[in-house]
Formats: sequence, C-alpha cells, structure tokens
Amino acid sequence: MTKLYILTRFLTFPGAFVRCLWEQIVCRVHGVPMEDTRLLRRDELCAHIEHELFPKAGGAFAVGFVPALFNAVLAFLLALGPVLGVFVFRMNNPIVTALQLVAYWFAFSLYVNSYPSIEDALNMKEKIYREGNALQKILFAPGFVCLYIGAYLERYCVTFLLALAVMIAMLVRF
Amino acid sequence: MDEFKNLENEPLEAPVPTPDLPEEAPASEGEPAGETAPQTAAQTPAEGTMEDALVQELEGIRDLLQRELDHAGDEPLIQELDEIEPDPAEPEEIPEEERCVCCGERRRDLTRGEDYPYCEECRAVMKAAPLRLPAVLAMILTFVLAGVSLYFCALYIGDYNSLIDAETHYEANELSDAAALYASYMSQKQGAELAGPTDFPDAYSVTAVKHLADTFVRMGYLGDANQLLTTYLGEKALARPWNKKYLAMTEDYAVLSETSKAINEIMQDILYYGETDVDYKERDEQLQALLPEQNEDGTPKYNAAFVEFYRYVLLDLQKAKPQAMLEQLQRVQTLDENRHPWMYLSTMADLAAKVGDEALTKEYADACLAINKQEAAAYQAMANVYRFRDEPDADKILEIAAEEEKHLSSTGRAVPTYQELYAIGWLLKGDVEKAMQAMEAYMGFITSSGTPGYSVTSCNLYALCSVLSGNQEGYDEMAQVFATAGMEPSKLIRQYQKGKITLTELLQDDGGEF
Repeated sequence: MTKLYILTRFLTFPGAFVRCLWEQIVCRVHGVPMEDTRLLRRDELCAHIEHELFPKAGGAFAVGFVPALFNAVLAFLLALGPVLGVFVFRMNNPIVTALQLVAYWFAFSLYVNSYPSIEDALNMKEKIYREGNALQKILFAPGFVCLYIGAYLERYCVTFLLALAVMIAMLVRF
Repeated sequence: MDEFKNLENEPLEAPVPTPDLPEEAPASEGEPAGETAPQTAAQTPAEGTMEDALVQELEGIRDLLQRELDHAGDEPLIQELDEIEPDPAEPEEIPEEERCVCCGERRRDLTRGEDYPYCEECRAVMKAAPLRLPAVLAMILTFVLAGVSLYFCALYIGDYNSLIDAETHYEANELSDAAALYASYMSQKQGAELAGPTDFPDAYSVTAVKHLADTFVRMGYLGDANQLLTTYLGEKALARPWNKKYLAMTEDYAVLSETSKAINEIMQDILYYGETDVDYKERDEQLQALLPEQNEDGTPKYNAAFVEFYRYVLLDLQKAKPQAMLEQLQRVQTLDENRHPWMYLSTMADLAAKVGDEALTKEYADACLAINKQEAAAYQAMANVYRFRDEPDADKILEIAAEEEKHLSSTGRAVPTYQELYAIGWLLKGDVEKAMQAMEAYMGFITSSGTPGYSVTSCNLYALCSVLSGNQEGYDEMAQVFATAGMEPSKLIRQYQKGKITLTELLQDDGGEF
C-alpha cells in the first residue's frame, strides 16, 4: 500500500508540492521546527513536511486545515474551466483543450493531496479532544471529522481512486 | 610557570630549599655542558667562609633558575593532567548521548523534554527552514493555471449558459425543448463561422453536436442527425471508438435512406399524390419482396422494420381494424428491437386505446413519454383510455392535460395540444364555458404564432364548443377553415344538435374527428 501511495504522490506531484508549501508556511507561522522539508520521499511521509508535533490545538488543527482548505479552493477554481469546457461540453479547440487538461491535472493533484498525514491527524485529535477546551472541541468538530477521515482515505489512496472514478464517469457520461 | 615567575621577582635573601633540583643544570643549546657561573673576587678558596659559600651557592641557583626561565618558552613543559586547571574558554566535553542529533556537537535542549533531540541552535534553524523552490514554482503555476481556467470559463460563459439550459431539457427527456435550444446554439456557432475566421479560442461544443444528433434520432429526424454528425464530427472523429454510437447512427441512416428510396418507388403515388385507386394487395407484395434482398456482404439491403411499417401504412390507408394495425406495429416493434420507437410507439398507444386495452395503452404511452416527455400523442392516447371508457373519467383527462401542460415546450413554438384535452375534459364534466376558453386559447395561439396547428380534432372541438355556447360565428369560422381543405365540420355535431346522440357518445366516437 505504501508503494501505491508513493506512486500516486509522484503522479500528482504538483499538488504534493503545493500542499508541502502550505504545511511549511503553517509550521513557520507557528514556529514549529521542520525536521525534513523534502517534498517527495520514498516513505509514508511522502508529500508531507516532517515537522515536530504542534503543541497547541490551534496549530494542530491549522496544519491539517489550511492545506486542505486552500488546495480544495484552488482545485475547484482549476477544475471549473476543464470540467465544463472539456468533460461536459467538449469545446473542440485543441489548444484550449490541452491547456484545460493541464489545469485539470493540477486540480486533480491538488484534491488528492489535500488531507493531512495520519500523524498530524492523530496529533490533532490528541490536542483538540484530550487537551483542548470545550469551545475548541465544538468549533473544530466538523473540520476535524473531515480531516481525520480524509487523512486515512488519502493514506490508502481512496481519494485518488475516487477522483479517478469521477473523471472516468465524466468521460463516459458526456 | 607561575612558580618560576615568582622566583624571578622575589629577592633572593633567604635560603631556598632545592631538594629536587640537580646540582648542575642540564646544558642548554649554545651553552657547553658543565659550565658554571662565573666566580667573584670574594670567593677565594683560601679565604672561603660559610657565608661566602652560601652566597655562591645561592647565586648558582639563581643563575640556573634564570636559564630555565629563559628557555621556558622554547621547550614544552611536561605537566601532569591533574595539575592543569580547566580553561573556561575551551568547549566542554559533551557525552555522546547528550549531543544534538542534528549537529552532533552541541548539547540537546533538554528543557524541552527528556528526550528532546535537538539543540537550541538547530531548532532555530529548523524553524526557519527555507521554502523549497519546486514547491514555490508549483504554487505559482497553480495560480497561473487557475487564472487560465477561469479565463476560459468566462470566455465560454455564454455558450455554457445556453448549453446548460439545453442539457437540462435533454436530461429531463424534454426533447422538443432540447432540440430547439441545441439547434439555436449550433446555428449561432454556424453564423459566427460564416461571418469570418474565428478567433483562437472560438470553438463549438462537441457534446452539443452529439446530444442534438441523439435528440434528432429519438424524435425521428434522421436526416438532420446525419447531416449534423457528418458536418461537425466528420469521418475521422466518427471512426474513434468512443463515437461508435454516432457512427452507428450514420450507418443506420444510410440503410434507412436506401430503404426509403425503394419504398418510395413502390408507394410514391399514394404517399405524395394521394392516389386511392390502387391495388393495396399488390403494393403489399411489392413491399414484402424487398425484405429478402441482401448486400454483397450478405447483410440485409433494407431495414425490415421500416418496410413492415409501410405495410402498416397500407393497412391504415385501407382503414383496417385497429387490432390488425396494432398487431402489424407490434411486428414492427419486434423487428426494430427498439431502435426507432418514434416510428410506431405513439401510434401503438393510440391504437391500443381504440382497441380498449387500457393496460397496453398505458404501457406504450409510458414508454413513449420515457423517451420524450413532450410527446403530445402519448398524452392524447393516455387521455383516450379514460375517455373511451363506458363511464368516462373527466378528472383523469384533466389531470393528463395538466401533466402535458407542465412539460410543454418553453420555446414558445409548441402547439398547446393540452388545451384540446382540457376542452374534452370540461365538456365531459358539462362545463362548456371552460371548454370554450381552452379552445379559444388554442386557436389564439395558432392565429398569433402562425404555427400550422389546425387539425381536424381541434377545428371540430372548436366548432362543437361554439355551438354549445351559442357562438354561431365560431362554428362558421371553422366551417370556412374546413372548406379551404375541401372538408366540412363533423356531422356528429349536427346529430347532437338534433338530439340524436348525447355529448358523451359524440366525444366517444372513434372516427378520429374528436
């Protein structure tokens, strides 16, 4: 499974790079030391920044939420044109199609690289639901559920397969 | 070293114990061994006193120490380790297990935890780890591509808007609307192409071409579909595996076109010139003779279902019984394998209604509406089920009319056939006023839109409503319309006026006049 995970990260490296950048920015903002900033590694932390665990609930949530949010928004903006222009209505201009397919690849890669690592997700759980206060537990609950589940789905390549299935469905449907 | 310095500075007045010192200092470089200090005048062997001897000895010692002091900087001094005091400027020796795992030199910052692996300096460096260039480039490229994506989205927003509208009707099986909207879009694109060379990003939607072709085929406009596909997709695109369905459409059209030519040769006088004095049996045999003909590769030359359908047309022209015609169309359906349901399905529903088979009528009408929710003939057939019952169900007819109205084409060009159903429903309920209103709305649309929507049914219904509401002008107007086609209003109206038949009997007449 790890090999498949690494393979999918290499296939979607633009999204992996962007996610790493978001993680790094969050680490710098919160003053958390980064132990390994390599973008693509051949282990489970491939496409993640290896950093010390965030000591506070806010930081632990931010390192999962910020990359997920920004990658999702960017993926949506990137996919909007290609989904309409290529998959649904298939505008017949080859140059436009080529550019939009590249944009779609970026959108695809951003989506499949949006969730945190399992390590970060577990730390988030620890900081929010063991050490956090009641307000944090309530406030972060929806995001936490999405990120926590998403971390596992991404680790086992489910998000990749899901995005692939959607793409194939669009190709077949239209 | 300090010891020597002290000795050098202090006056040598007291005797200094020198138990460890050698009697003769070792010879140093440039000075011969065994050389002693120069003797003074007071030191004569004859007058040697203890005091002199002491002074001499002390001077000897002083000289020796002076020499040692002079050479102290040149030669390393051998000292015991425990005699050297630690220099605070020198680094402290750190045990291996306490060293930072990053730099391997400094002590771990254990204030952060017992097992904390890094020193404070390494930690500070790691906190400010520089951003990776590929990641920054990927981010920039992402924003650029997002801009490109949005640009194309904005560029085609007009296209998308009209296409989404068409697509919505297409998905809802409202084929009249879908066809009208897609066709409007394609003619816009065609107009732009004819206006001159297109700009770089100008393009038409291949999906629109395919869906319009599909809509045309489902509605029975095979020629239009074929023209669209060959013009906008072309042979090359049609040969691609994912366009197999559309290639089949063009191939199917080619076969049907051939079949149509052959049928026309047999039935041209009947179909186009209204010839009635013909030997139908002979024509039927001629049609049947087409069926066994084959191409060179052994495939059938003509479409069997199409040929059988024209055999049904012959039955219709001979005014055969509805049951016989229905059976013939069922044969067509079997041969066709549901590829051209537009050809027979709505007619089958109508015939089933005339036969009085409610279940079969519903089955065919539902199948028809599943293909096209705007198929007026299907609603008509459904309404006929409730109309031709022994006890007509006017409410059901009104419900069906409302359903048809709901799915009426929004293009503004569709004939409001549901008004006919409303009129029949209200007449069966005895509400002549509402029936008249419905028919006036129908006729008003025909007049204002210029759409060729006059039919025998609509004209007879309008004439009937006019008579019932005492509007003789309306009846006369319809009589004129009939007269232009060499016809006259239904005789059933006069019979009703004379009281020979009831209104229900009139509306349940299956002669096709109402």
